[in-house]
Amino acid sequence: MDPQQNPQEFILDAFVDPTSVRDVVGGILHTIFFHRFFPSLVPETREVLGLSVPYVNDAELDTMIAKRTSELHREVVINNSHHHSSNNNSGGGGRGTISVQFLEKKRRKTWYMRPSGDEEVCWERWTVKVTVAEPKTETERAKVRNAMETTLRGTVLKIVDIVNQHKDHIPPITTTDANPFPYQIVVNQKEDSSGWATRIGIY
Amino acid sequence: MHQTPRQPPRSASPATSPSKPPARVNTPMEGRPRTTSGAADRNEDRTQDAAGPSKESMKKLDQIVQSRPQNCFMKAGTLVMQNRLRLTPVTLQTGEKRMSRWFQTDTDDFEEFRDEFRIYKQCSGFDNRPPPLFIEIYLDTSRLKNGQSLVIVDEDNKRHDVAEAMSSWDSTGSNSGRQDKHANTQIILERWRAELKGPTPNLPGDFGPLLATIYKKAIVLFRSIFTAVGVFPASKLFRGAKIKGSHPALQLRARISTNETLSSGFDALRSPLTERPSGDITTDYMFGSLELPVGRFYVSVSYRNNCTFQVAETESLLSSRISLAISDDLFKPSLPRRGVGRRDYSTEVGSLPSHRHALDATDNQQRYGSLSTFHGEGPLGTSPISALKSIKAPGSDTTSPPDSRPASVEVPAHSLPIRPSITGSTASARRPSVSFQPFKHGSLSGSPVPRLHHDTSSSPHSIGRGTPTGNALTQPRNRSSLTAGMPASLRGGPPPATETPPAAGSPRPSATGRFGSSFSHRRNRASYGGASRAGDDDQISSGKQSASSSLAQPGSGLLNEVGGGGSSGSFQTDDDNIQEFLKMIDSKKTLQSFEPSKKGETSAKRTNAQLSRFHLMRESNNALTESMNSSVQLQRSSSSSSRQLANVPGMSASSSPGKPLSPHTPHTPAVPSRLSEGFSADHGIPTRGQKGRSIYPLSPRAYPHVRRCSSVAQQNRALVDEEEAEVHRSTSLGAGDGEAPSISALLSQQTATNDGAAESPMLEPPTELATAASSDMLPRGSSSVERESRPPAGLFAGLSSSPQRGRFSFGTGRGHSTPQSGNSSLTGPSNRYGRGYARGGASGIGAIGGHVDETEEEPLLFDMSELGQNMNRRSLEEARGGASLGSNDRGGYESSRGRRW
Repeated sequence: MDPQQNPQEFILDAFVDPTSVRDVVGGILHTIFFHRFFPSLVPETREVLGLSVPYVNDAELDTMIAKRTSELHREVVINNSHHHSSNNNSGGGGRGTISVQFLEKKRRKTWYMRPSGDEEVCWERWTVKVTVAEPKTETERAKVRNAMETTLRGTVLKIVDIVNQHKDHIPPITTTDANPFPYQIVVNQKEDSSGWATRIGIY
Repeated sequence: MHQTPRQPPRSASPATSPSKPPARVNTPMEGRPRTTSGAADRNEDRTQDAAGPSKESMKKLDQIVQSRPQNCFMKAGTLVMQNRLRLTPVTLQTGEKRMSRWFQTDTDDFEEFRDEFRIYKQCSGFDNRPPPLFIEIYLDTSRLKNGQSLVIVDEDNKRHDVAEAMSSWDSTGSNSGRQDKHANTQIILERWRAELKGPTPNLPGDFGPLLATIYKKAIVLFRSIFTAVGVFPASKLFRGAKIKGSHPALQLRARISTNETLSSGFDALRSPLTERPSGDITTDYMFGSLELPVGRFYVSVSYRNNCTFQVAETESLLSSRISLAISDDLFKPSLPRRGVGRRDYSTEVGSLPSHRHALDATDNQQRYGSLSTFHGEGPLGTSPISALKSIKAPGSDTTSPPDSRPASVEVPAHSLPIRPSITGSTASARRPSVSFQPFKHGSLSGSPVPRLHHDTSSSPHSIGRGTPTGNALTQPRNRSSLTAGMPASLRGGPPPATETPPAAGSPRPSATGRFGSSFSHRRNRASYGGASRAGDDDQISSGKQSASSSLAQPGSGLLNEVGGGGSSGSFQTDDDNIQEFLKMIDSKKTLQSFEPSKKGETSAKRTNAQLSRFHLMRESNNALTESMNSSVQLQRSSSSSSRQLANVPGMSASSSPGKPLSPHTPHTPAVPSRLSEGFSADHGIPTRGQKGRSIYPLSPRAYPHVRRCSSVAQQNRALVDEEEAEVHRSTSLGAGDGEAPSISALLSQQTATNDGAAESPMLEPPTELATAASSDMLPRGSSSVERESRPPAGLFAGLSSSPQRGRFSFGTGRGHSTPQSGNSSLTGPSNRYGRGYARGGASGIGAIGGHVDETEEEPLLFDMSELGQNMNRRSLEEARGGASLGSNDRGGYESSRGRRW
């Protein structure tokens, strides 16, 4: 496996309403990290939409997730409402992505940069496609609420599935640092897979 | 086997709560220190290896091998049970809790199940392979007190007594020599299975690196188990148990064993707890396997998809059942069925009692079966179809004689016909002879006849007839008025007991409509779907389809609320909500309101089915039809065309022209003769007509506002009302009759002056109902008009289609009867009118209306469907809705065909 060339990439879906963007997306990110955060931890959960979603009790990570999800919330909900409430995007809601990259530190192989030391290579990327629904009636809210829970459960189980199916690409853990794998969380990365994400970013 | 983990009241539960192992409070930073030690898998592995008596390679190997499986089983079991049970952590003398830090996932050790796990500690990867580990999570109903029942709430929010389902297990599963004692009281929710499989591999000389990789993967595996445990359905039960100090019967228990308890095919995990479970009962999931030096470690789980259990007082359960049954359209035989039977009887009195009664007895049974099947099969699935079919049939019947529709619809509810159709062949066979009579009588007996007379008497109709254009306008109006009046009259009539209800009834319906309104969209959709389905099923009767759709739409609000027979699934949920709400308010009232509505729907379906059967009968019995036609013709010609025509075609103001229309005429003939009879009888009740007129005003308004559409809406309303009214009808039969005539009068009045001061009050309520029903969610008064327009469109479409239907269905029969030149010529114009309506209403308006409603909701729905897999039903409904729309269009097309004919 040569993660450097082809990082594993996984796509997840999140369906949220404006008020639950941070909770749901944060829950999904925590779930991802729960399976990629190799320091010892006591498994914890948080209630999200009636589900017990894993929670990685790490201050730094939690802060980062909160920061990025707020950023996502801003772009997807607030900006969206400003520019055009509901035009192209189905359901009138906004869309956005948030992606997590896991990196490994490698000794730089390039001989001309010898002094620089380590470089970080992405070996896995998770992209969460977030769809924001804006229910306007009670009926819609109820439906959206059900859909959110259903989608979240599906996403969590998909994560479970993925992490069980794809283990071999996890780089060897060679460091004794707290977290062997640095990570990045990016909101609405334009270079992302396809056009729609880019579009959103452009708005 | 300790089946019941200790349930120490110990609030010390912190231990139980996985999230917070008390001993070690995780400050975020805490992880770090550990990580330093444990972060490097290799390090830890090595340390452990080294820590053991691993001086010799073999010993080292064995230690690794031995410890891995053991810890794997222990960890897996712990991760599962700590999120399912209240466990007692093992407390060390130091006061700290003993923890297992294997796999970078810290868990408390607990007192429970020590013996069970001891086996695994003694196992060796090589010599003594560990047996598979089975953990069954279950509920124990033996903890229920007397008067309490464990119920499971299905997707439609219906509650099912678990004990009933479990009792059925005994018969099926008693054979298994398994732990029968438990089978009766234990509901297995999850069965976890962990096992070490595969031959002992040849271990490489140095497996240090291998261990690191294994360990790394093991971390992922066990954490994923923890993750999954949190989102499986049973998780909510555990959380509920933690929070509420819930009922002991709702506290999960676990049983650990080393072999599968299943000795035979019976499996308490996979046995259904509801009569007709929708979807899979259980889900199997296998976690990734973990390659160990000694084999592969597998973890898999099977869990119940529906773990929505509640403890209910038996009494409340009974009452809920009743309500459910009501809401479900008599899903369960008990109350609703009875009510239906009563109504039918009462209605019969009005129409043709004797025949109907006889039929009713059979019919009732059939109904039950049919109804149950509908519901049972699943709201969406088969039942809808049947419902649709039935609906279509009625629509077709009604179409032929516009008047007949309302009457027919009502009649079916009252009389047997509907039932037979639903029940199927048997009913049809019986009915043929009888059924004809009931229909005719029913329709005739219904308000329509009197109305017809009045109409005829009232010049307006005759005039309208004379002038096709005028007729066209008047006809639709008349029809609508008639229908509205008819239902009302019919409703009013029969049930004496319910007389009081009528007054209350009207308010109730409106209320229900309001309630339903929010849900109405769903229902509407469902109704649409149903209609579409019906249409699909019965291509023959395009009109029927449209009619069904129209019916559904108009009624959608009310009908949906009431029966929602067509779209039972979606409706049910709504109904349930509504029911709950109603219960909150007044259980009895709610029941009544629901019942009537249900009845109405069912009745409508029945009527449709009956009508369809009639058509079939006609077709099959061409001779009969011919004779009928001849009789009809005779009647037409002989009997003052105005009255008879009014009666028969009378439905349509354009009776004279309408008769010409082959479809109408054929129907009318058969019915008309009897109708004419009925008319004569009805004529005796002129006073009623006056009353009815007063009532009618309502319809008139609707007409002016809604126009044709309004008429349709009114019909729908009427239908809904009819249901309610049915009960009332028995009592208010006279009134009903009056109404019928009044309708004609109303029509005339409408034509003359739409404004009726007296009418306004009456009209308003219907409008509200219609609005509630039609307007999906909006209870606005003002909006009512707009809404009405929508629903009406649907209704119109239905109406328009209905005539077409009639044409089609009657085709054969008509062919015989219609040959007469005069009729044909007449039909031509009438057809034109009908066409115009059909076009505008069915294809155009209907489609639009449908789209409007759907579009409003659709975006979400689509999103939902896309996003949520679980949303299947909804998505299906949506799809149905879409289909229904399509069907409407189809209806329009078909109708066009019919027109061409």
